[in-house]
Amino acid sequence: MKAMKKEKVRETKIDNVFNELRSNSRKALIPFITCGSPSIDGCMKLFDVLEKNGADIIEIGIPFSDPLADGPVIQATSKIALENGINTDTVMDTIVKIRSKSNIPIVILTYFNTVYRYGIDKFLKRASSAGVDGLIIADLPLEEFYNYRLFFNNSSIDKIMLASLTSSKERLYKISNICKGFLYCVAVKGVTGIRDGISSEVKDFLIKLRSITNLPLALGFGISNPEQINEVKKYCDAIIIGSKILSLLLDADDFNKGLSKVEEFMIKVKNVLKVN
Amino acid sequence: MRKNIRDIKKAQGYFGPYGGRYVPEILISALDELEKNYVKTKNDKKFQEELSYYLKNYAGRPTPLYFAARLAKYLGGAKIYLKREDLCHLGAHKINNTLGQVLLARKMGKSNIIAETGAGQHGVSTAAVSALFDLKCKIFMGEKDIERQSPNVFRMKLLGAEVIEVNSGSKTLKDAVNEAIRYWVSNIDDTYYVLGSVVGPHPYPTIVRDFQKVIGIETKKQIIGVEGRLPDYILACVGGGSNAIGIFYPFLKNSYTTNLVGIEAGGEGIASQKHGASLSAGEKGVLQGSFSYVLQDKYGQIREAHSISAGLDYPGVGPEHAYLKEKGLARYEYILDKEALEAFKILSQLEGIIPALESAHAVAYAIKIAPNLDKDKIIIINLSGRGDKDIDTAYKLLKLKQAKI
Repeated sequence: MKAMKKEKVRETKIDNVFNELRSNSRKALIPFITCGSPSIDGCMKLFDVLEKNGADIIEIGIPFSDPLADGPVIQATSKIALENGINTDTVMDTIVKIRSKSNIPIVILTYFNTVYRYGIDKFLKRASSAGVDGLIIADLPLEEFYNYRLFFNNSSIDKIMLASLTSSKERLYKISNICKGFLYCVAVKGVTGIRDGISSEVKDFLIKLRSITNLPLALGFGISNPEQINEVKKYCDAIIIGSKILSLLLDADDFNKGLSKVEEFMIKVKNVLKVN
Repeated sequence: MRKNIRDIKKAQGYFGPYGGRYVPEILISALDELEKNYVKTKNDKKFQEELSYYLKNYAGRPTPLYFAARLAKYLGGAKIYLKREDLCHLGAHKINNTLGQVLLARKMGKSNIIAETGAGQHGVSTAAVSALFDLKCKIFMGEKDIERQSPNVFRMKLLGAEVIEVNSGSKTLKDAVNEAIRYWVSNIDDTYYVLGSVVGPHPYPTIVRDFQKVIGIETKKQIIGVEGRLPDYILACVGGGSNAIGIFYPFLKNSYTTNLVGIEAGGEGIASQKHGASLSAGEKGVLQGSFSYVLQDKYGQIREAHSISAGLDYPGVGPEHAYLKEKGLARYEYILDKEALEAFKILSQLEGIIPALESAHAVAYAIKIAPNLDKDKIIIINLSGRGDKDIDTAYKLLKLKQAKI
């Protein structure tokens, strides 16, 4: 099949993560944080805790005023961050600071208007020099991506695409053909947020994707507990967790208590991600 | 790889560079389904007959083109006609689109209807048509708009709709759209989203325009009937821009004789940054699924809009308007809150017609230009809605003004 054709491209830091994990029989853990929530310092501490407790890649959100794909938790952290005066420049500065002591792959998640307004080219260059490895734009599907492909193709940053339960097989082929790093597989018909269970469709969705692409499959949206992960880990390569982690901080009496809750949670999840 | 990239079609639903579908992947299949069904239905004779039947017998179309003799005399210049969309069932042009889309939803077998609303007119309209066809209906409305448009909230509830208060962001129309989209994403299988303006991802701007162009088609026939010629000006208020595109569209090929002018909300003035004039003072960007003009800061964060009228209180504008502006096929001006309020009073007192505060913006622009035009010039104002819903707001503001004077 054409999708199985291996391209000659140099391996990126994200590729390396998955290559190593495949030989270690472990699934990757990709937590998401909103830059600037609860504060710049706070999110840097959170980053640290996540890295020390087994994150393999960390997603950093540039907050957007109108996050269409996000549920209440990430809406709340985005609002907090924006009220703290966070903008694209401060996010990049924060990543530069993080990079001075950490080499973990960093993926930016944002919405198209923040990228467009900054200047797509300028954004990609700034992100690249700050040490960003991947980029996810929640509201830039295939056809719109195509309009701007030259910018993205000229950048060394992995452009990560989203695949949804409602995408046709034909689209999934096209999506995985332009996607780099990992494929972001959306586990719900809905927005981000905490959920208890996981739809039975997800397993079939991942099996279908596996037959379509060699890209690592990272499952995200609504993943909040070890039981869900146990159900699907066999079929994917990574788990993305955002709202659950952020809510542990939002709901805590004070920040440090929240951080230790996050630590506990990370350890629990990490244990589940081992496969035999 | 190359071949596969070329395999992706250029995105559909663009007006020049404006429009598109900047939405999460999950919505694409629903938008495809909507587009496919719409294209099929559009050319279906039975559907068109059914829509015409309801437009005539339920919505009360055609609406009159009324010669506003006293207003024209008072201004001492051009002749002024009002396209009386305020006489539509439920008091605004919104019903044209709602009937079309709800009939489409029925054809698609969707049992749940959702809609956003700002001023409440689109919400009331959607609630009514859902009642008519026995469909479940949820209306998303910003907390701030619920406060200032309370009669419409009651009307929606009376019509059997569930009104969902939106507390996020600026708590107005933009946030109601966000919530409606989030709800739609989460209930994609059985829910139809009746978007109320020519905004959002493709195919909405096209669908809503097609259902609203009946305004312009009628207007053209009517003005030729009375005056034997096309008008010199057509004025319409622009929030998202559905009534404006509706009356402009059939005149686009006549734009060399007829000046099409969209009037945005100038709020408290452009310099105050408290306005809703996306085309006059915004910049290019993406909001809620389409590329157009947007009120935003230098990092692309969407700014809050402001207008005395809830229906114009929106930081974006339909992509087709951005295109018409760029091509010079229409031009866009703005009117301040206080000018709209004055026009609200003038039209009420001279013609016995209380306009919606949204439509009062178009009236105010006519008040500005008519005195300087020759008596044989013709202005048509799209009077998109009636002002009963605005009585409380106007009462408070006019009283305040009196107290000052």
